[in-house]
Amino acid sequence: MKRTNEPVFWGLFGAGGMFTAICAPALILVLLLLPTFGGTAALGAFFGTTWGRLFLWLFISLSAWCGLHRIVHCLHDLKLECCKGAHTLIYLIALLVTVLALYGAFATCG
Amino acid sequence: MADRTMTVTVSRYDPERDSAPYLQPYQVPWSEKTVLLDTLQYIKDNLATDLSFRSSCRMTICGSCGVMVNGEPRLACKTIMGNYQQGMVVEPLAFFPVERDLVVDLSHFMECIEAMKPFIIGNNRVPSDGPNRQTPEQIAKYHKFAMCINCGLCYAACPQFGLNPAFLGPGATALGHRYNLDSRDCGSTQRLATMNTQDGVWACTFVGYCSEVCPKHVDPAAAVQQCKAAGALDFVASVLHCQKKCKEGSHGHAS
Repeated sequence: MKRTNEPVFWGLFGAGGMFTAICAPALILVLLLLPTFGGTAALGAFFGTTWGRLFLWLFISLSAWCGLHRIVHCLHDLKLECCKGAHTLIYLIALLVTVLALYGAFATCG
Repeated sequence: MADRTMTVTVSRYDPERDSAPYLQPYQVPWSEKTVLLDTLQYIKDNLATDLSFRSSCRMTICGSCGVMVNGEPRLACKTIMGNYQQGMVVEPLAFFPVERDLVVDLSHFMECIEAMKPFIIGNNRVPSDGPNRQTPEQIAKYHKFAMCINCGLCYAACPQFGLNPAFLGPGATALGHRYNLDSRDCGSTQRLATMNTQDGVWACTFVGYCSEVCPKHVDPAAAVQQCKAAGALDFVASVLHCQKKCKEGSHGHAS
């Protein structure tokens, strides 16, 4: 029996879903409220730290893996699986987002 | 049955005569206590003697009488006619090949059950060892998943089974999971090998309708998700070449 590599993508999908569900509402709330109370500088300072950059990278890349993995399954659900290449292409986009987010979070300095 | 009547539309199909299934309405009497299985038997006895359907225990134990009622998978013996006074359409279980009228071919489901090896594996106790006792906690781990009556309603509710007839499916997975969670068993590696294939548990997208329609509240959707988590750990272990070995003699004893 051939073992599927789906656990890798399911793991990233699950991690992305969990991370986004927990952090996205808090992030949105913070981004909405902090400017009102003049905390923009503190927010900028946090995202300048290693933990802040790591958070941003994980947030963006895991969200991408979650959403794009869902699209792969939606293609199956909607019977739109034209070829195996579509899956590879979608996962390559997720990988690209991961690499770009890594670059954006760590390579650029404020 | 009482003198009140209602219309029940039943899917009819005789492969020797019909090119496709068709719907046939029947006027049937009903009372507060009438269940769909009574009604189907009434139709067979009085209106259409050639009507075919499966049934046995009449009390939600055997799992034989699964049908689609207004598009919802249900056991005929557990479906109260009084709840469908506006009318009812009875069809064979969805996604299974129809053999005749309300009888479907459950061969794939049976093959999936067999593939899950639903028996204790690797327990080398002998009768002289005495009863293979378990603590209430050890039983509670798998008890819910042991309640499956193999009715197939979860398969008829599963859109992924509808898309991919080779899918292992919720019922068989729940049964395999039941043995994987049993402290007396040591066969999870064999079952996970089947679960971790493309048509195994990974075809599930956690729609959850299987758990909603289950007449015994087995929650097969939870079983599939727990198997995915176990399968993911098994995948990591296989990559790291550190698959857990079941220690001889480490099972079977209540602690």
